Amino acid sequence: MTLPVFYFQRFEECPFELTYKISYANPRVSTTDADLAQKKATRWWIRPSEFEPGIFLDPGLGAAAFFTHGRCTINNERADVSDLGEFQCLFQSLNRRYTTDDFYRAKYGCRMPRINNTTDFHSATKDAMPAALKEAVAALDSDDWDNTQPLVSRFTLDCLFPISSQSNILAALMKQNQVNGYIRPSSEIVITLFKRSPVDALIESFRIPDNAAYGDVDVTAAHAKPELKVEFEGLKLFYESFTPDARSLHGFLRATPKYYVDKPYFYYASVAPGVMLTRHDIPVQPGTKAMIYGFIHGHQMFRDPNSNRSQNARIRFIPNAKEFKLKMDHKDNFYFAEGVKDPGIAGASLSSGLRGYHASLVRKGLTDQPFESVWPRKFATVKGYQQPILLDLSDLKIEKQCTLTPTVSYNSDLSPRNWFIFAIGLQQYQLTHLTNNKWLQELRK
Amino acid sequence: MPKRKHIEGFSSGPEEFLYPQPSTSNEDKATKEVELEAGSDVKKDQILTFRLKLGPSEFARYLLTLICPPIVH
Repeated sequence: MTLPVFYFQRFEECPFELTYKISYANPRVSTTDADLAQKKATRWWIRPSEFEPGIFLDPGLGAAAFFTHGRCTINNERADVSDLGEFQCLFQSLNRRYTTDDFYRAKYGCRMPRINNTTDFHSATKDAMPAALKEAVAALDSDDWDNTQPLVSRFTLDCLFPISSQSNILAALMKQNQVNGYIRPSSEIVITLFKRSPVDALIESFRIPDNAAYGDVDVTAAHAKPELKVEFEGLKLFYESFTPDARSLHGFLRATPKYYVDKPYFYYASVAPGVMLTRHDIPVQPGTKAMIYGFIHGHQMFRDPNSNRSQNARIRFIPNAKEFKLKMDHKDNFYFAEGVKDPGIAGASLSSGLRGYHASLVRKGLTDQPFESVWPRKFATVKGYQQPILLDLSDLKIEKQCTLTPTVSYNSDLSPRNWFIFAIGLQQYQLTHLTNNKWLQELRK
Repeated sequence: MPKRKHIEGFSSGPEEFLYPQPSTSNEDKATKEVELEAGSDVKKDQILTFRLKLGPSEFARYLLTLICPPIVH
């Protein structure tokens, strides 16, 4: 009998490749210098590192920022387990931050510029641009104002099976580095990407004052990003295939393929404005191994078409907070169980609770960033951008739904308006590719 | 934790996860690319779709012949 050729296939870590161009209206158009083509041109291709214009795209997202989310079916059955929907980019941005530089380079083949606080982000002039910001915006740079070469960006959508299997957070916590598995032949995979509308919604100006980044103050027209025109030119998907030898093929026939995937789930609720104390009961699903939660301004989470501000994932403690406590059903030994005074505003950098928490993240391989960079000592002028709380629940073996309860008390300015609390839980799933081509999803507790 | 079952040719990853994996360097391995499916326009469409048919369709038939060999009279 003649054997047909069998191709088993899997996806690379950053399997999508987008080619695109971004242009904006020439800000110094001149008809008097009509002999200079650059001044005469109505549009220029962007060069953010030259302040042309001063715009920024979260380096943890890259071109993934142009899409809200993705879906995947295998043999007409939904295979991805993610329910993040429009919050995919918020999760992905946070997921990329909880890594060390070594881990990031090994997994994605590049270094991620770290934007930890305001000193890494703002820039009044191009000569004073912080190194991390310069590195982050370089990926958007066209060669010149009349560049004809498109930008090329490789990207992925984290935890969208089978494109991506494991979150960086659980890779560190569980000390298991899962690679994407090969899918067997005779499978039809359909992957759908949903474009963001408008596509440049997550591109933001890096010339905005701090209180506009995550406060009620809007960005003035002088600091707002200009109107951008993003043109997609091509989108490809890369995968890896192999043809097994006869001995391997026997192994494949004797076993049912089982794949690993992390499932993120999302929760959010509004924070009551104008009160002395707020308390939320966040549901923690069975099998949750880790949970990130934090406070976020409304415009960061939901696009506001009437504002110059962009959505972003720069997270800090909620303003006006005086004390912060955290409890979870049947567990008392959390960091912060005894409370952190003036979190993120005054004295937080001196808090033993916060220092202990940060040290635990370093110990578990979830960050290699210095404490002072994430929780700046000069809190009056330097605001931290990386201040969600990540809880390691992997030891708890949560069998049934329980509750996480953060309580915040506020100073005399009371709780601010238009703020939300959000939480992202991470569960582990096992997907089994059954012989009838169905996919079985099982929660691993 | 359950013990790992070793099955030739499968992932050497932790425990239960058993997906096909090249077991020798001789096996033909290559990176390939796929374009958007016909009718999906990257410049205009809000929803973009890739469709991959993995490998030859003979695979399922081949499996069937191994599991349930044809009866020969």
